[in-house]
Amino acid sequence: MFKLIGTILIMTGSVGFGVYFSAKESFRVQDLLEFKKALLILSSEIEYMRATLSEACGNIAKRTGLGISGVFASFSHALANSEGETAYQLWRNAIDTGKIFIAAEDRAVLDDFGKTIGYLDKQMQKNAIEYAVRYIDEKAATLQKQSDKNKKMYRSLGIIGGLLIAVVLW
Amino acid sequence: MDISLLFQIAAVGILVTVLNQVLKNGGRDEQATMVTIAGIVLVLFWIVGHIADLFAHLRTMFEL
Repeated sequence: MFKLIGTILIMTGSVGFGVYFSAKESFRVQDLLEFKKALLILSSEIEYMRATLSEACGNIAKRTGLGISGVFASFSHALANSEGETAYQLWRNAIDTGKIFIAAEDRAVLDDFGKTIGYLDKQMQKNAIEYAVRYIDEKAATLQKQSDKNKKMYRSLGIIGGLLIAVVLW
Repeated sequence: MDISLLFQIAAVGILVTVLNQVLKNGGRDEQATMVTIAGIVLVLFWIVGHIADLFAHLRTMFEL
């Protein structure tokens, strides 16, 4: 009886892991696309609204969904109440504490983008945004191609891995 | 020897083969090889004691 309960628990856990990893891939694509949207809004804010960075990020937080909104909201809040920290530090904090599903390589690109926030002129900001948007476009296209294949693989791995562990421990 | 060991080994064999195929189709050949090796090592661990018993029996049977 205990063996059966254990097996069910192991299976539930491993299938859960499989489903989580398969969903994580699509969450990453969604978050990247949402980041692209946010960056395009920021670009327009810089170009036409001439808003301060804090205001612009506040506006972006209202216009984006998922975890990205939280990142920009906390960044905007931190900028408004900053006590001598650089914009880059605040940006890093916002990215690190945000509930987003981006991978380490995406984080590195956003980190690079953060280094140019509030640095030099309007053109510099726009170039940095353009670079980040181009990266997101390329990455999202590649990820979407892989995504379907990987989703199936992660689910099967979850189920078969669970069965294997259950058999080994039986 | 417990007969359930045979069934366990068979199940591990089937599952490792399927895992291997799934990983290979996903383009993860290295992990597929690792899983296969892990399966072989695991089963060897299970049967190594029994093989030692078999040799001990053979020795006593033929008085070697």
